[in-house]
Amino acid sequence: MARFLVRRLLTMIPVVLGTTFIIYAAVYALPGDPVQSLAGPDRAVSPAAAAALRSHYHLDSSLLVQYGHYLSGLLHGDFGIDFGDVPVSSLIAAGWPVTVRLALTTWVIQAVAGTGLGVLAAVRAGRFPDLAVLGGSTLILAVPYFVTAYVAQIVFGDRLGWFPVSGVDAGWPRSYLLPALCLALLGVPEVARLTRAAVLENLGAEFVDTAVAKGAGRIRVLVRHVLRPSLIPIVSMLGLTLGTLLSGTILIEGIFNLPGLGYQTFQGVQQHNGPVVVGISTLLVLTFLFINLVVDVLYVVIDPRIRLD
Amino acid sequence: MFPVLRRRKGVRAAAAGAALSVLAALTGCGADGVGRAAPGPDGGSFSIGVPAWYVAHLTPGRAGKSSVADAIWTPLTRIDDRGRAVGAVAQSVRSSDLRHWTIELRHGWTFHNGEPVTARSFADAWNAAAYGPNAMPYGYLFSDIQGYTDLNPLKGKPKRTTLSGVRAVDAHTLKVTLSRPLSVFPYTLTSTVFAPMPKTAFKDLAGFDRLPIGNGPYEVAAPGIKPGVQQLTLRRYDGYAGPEGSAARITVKSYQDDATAFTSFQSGAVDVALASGSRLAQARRTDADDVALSTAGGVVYLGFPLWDKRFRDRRVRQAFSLAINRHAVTRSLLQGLASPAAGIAPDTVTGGGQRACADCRYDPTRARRLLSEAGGWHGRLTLWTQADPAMQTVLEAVLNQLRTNLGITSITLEAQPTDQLYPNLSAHKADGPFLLYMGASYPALYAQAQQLFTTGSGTNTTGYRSGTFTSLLDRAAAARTTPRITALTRRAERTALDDLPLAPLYHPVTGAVHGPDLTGVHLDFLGDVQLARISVR
Amino acid sequence: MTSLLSAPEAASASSALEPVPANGPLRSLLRRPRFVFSAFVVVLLCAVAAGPGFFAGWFGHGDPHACDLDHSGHGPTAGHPFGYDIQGCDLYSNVIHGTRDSLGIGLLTTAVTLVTAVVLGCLAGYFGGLLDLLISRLMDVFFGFPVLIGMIVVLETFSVHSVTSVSLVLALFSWPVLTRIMRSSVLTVRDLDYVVAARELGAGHLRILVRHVIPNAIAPVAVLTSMSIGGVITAEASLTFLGVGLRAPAVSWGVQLNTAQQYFTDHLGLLLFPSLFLSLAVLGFVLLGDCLRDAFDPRLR
Repeated sequence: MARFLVRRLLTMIPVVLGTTFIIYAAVYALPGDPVQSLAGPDRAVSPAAAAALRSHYHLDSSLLVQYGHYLSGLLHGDFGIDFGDVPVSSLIAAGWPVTVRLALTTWVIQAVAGTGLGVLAAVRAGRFPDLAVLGGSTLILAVPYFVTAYVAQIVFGDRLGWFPVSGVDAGWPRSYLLPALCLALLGVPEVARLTRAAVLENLGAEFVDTAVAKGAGRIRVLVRHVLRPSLIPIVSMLGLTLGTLLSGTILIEGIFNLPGLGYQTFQGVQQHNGPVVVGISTLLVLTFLFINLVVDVLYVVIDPRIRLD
Repeated sequence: MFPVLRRRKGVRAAAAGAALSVLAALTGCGADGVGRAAPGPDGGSFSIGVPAWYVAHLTPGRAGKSSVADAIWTPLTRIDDRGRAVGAVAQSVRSSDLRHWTIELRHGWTFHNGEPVTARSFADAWNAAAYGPNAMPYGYLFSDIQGYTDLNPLKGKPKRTTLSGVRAVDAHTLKVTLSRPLSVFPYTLTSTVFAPMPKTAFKDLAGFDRLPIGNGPYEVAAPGIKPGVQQLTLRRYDGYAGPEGSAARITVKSYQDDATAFTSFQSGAVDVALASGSRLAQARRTDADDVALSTAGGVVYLGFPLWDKRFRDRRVRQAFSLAINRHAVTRSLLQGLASPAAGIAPDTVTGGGQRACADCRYDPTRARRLLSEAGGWHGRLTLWTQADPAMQTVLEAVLNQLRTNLGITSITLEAQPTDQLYPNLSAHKADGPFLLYMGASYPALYAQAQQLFTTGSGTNTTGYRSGTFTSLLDRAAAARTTPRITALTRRAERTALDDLPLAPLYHPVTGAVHGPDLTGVHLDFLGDVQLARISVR
Repeated sequence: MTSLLSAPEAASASSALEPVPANGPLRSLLRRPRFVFSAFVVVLLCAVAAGPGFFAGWFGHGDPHACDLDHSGHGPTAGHPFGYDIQGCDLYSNVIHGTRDSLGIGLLTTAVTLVTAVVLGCLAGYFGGLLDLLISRLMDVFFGFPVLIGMIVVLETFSVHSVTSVSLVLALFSWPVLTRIMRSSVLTVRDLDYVVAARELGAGHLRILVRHVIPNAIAPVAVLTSMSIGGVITAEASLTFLGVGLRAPAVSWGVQLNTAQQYFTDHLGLLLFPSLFLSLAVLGFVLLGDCLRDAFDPRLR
């Protein structure tokens, strides 16, 4: 286990380097002029102002030099300054709690609703609950989640007044529930379908028949012999949805006006604000790698048949 | 390998730890009150939802014109209700030759920290804004002042740090020399970009940008702008020498998405919000009493790429302009929230509203005939606009009409973020007509004509050049009376629109929605509210 | 553990553990109403995508580009069963014509993703070792990359908004999820008795993979794939919303839903009808995937 952990941690280094470089290069390659977006769309930038901006943000050097600058700063714990002269670390510090609250709330909704509905559908396969879950998830999938978000805002936020429409003024959980629900809709159908498939598969397995033959109770069989081996793909899926989820925050945070990391990244792309995009992305990559390391360890806990090294 | 049992226990303990920190993260946020209008003996308070860029910067040279900037800053002149430039901090703005200006300041004006507003405060602020290396986005507005090019040389570092054309003679007299006669100079001074700054600002321009000390009716309460906080509090400044603000406190909430700002207003989270398009139409139908409307002092136009040889023939440009049914667009698509344009400025702007464009009407038969006379259309047509849903919807309607009325079948639409679109236009890379909006920087036809058609103007997107137009506009700039300026500018406008480098389509109507307990919500020529005049019942 | 470097041996011995019989599933499928319904829906949609003109003309207004602004947003009338869109075009004919691009993106993206996932998932899960390490790290790079940001950056850089470019970009950022599921599912199959037995009988890697590992490991991936066709079609809409996807005058459900988002409070039909078709497509593919899995998964038979 210890060897496995050390190896995994070591392999993270090239991943982090690779990701930050790809992101940095991609932002660098974006068409459009960062100086122009700094100045505003329809304004003439004087050459002196442009030169000053370029040298201030190291825009006048080559990609590798820029990336080198950035990386050496990063090693000193400096995420750089964004184009508004705000340290990226303070942007992250401000946005991080919001995004973490949103992501975790979403994740919990996704896990509970997804596995719950999946098990229900599998146990009652072919009957009404199964069809209802299928129909429901189909409908959810068929409407893009930004549309769902706007509709939910108007129906639940404005007309019914159950939730605040936007912002984080009402605190957790009130301000986060509606955006998290909208965001969770992205993953619930997939988790439910996967759970249903895995549970169905294991329901037909021999060891379940054996357990039933040995006289184990229904619930016990379901939990110990069906759900547990089914958990592998589900846990793996949940770990992976985190990536989709974090990128989903880009739209949801914008629509619900949550001052988190997602929208900052989106704005960063629009303004060619390399430091912001790379800084936040690096953070998200690290989070993601960590969570999936945990998921890999969980595999072993769930299914003793899998060995790590 | 460890025994299975031990490993499992370890993970559970770790999971419990993670759960605890999750809980800590989740509960670490207190609820603070939702801003609702509250009357009070001191004038009460209200909240307003604004686009995020309103509070991105607060320094005059960086902020640009917005209702928030207007509340914090008071420049030398202001636009009165009849659209004229009148003195604000300035007692008088005079010139005998329209090049050398003498500005007398009123006494008794102070910054929010008590420092008196002097001619020096203006000179310092203007120098800082115009100085190239400070890279203030609105520094270009000082380009008419003598010495601007010394501060912004084409190559290398500037040798000077101050504008040679700006001199503080004494505490209350400012002398300004322009590089050319400019009759509308008092109008250009109405922009908050020309506001003064106190001495303390120059010690730390970046810090000042987040928590400025202004001279307007409202002061910014600490901590000012903070990253990740979407709220700014304005407090009425009791030492203000101009007409006092009515509410005691204003909470400014910034929104990244206009739709969200509007929905937040509907749910009561803010008391005032700007609105446009279908949301404004909806508000006007349901709550007409609490909607303020105004025709913005600008124009949405279809510009032609004059560098593209297919558009060199004037008849092709005429055909495009005549094939667009402006009334159908404003009436059906925009639900009446726009008026068809036949000029570059609406009648809400001094000199605007004339029928300057003969080809700005709907005549599909003539359009088809002109196009075939010019040799017809061959190949693909790409229409360009900025990445904005409302503009794209309008351009789609234009596309359908060009397809139907001119028989051009292969048409595509290209939408780009403005920071790509404008450089593409100035590099002459766009290969088709483009739909854009141009707003007057002050309410005079001259401003629009100068921005759209002057050779070398950053917003002359079509690359239009005309000797006749230039001489007419120069004569307007050197004219002494307003009627004379207007008459000459109108002639210049007619000259340009006769050449038709761009086809004006419509003047958009913007609006603000507000709660029933607020009065005094009026929109200015740029379609923005004036915060100081809003009062709480 | 099997090493990456051991060359696959030529396999000839037919395994006694052959799980999938040659015929049978199809016949049993045809007896299931679920399958018949979903196959009908999918075939119908494909027919609509292939020849939208035929279906669009049913009510006499088949041209999606014949528009009159005066009808902007009007409700259903004779000859216009779905009413008009915001540009005053016939909504029914637009939704019908939208099938082609939407379905095209869904199928193309899913096909590219599925092939990539099965190949890379098998390589990583079955062979393990260095190959697994490389593929897993590459997946990590893509996972960590915020997907939407990645898509925006790529699509903005290349600035082409065609069905192919949108599909490829969607596939570029969706293969890791399926690959990882495939990998973990191959991991559980790899050491099952009949695979081990086949290996001991001297079967080659390719044969083991194709005959034993893939059929037994593909179920979770197949289910997710059938599900993801719908997700892909809606993802196309999100890209349009962010300004980097398909755009008018291209006709797709995503473009229609994106426009509807601005107007749905006044004109619900704009949201309803494209969503209805999208739901039908999603439902069809999900049910079809389910039935196929039930029929072909050896462990469920």
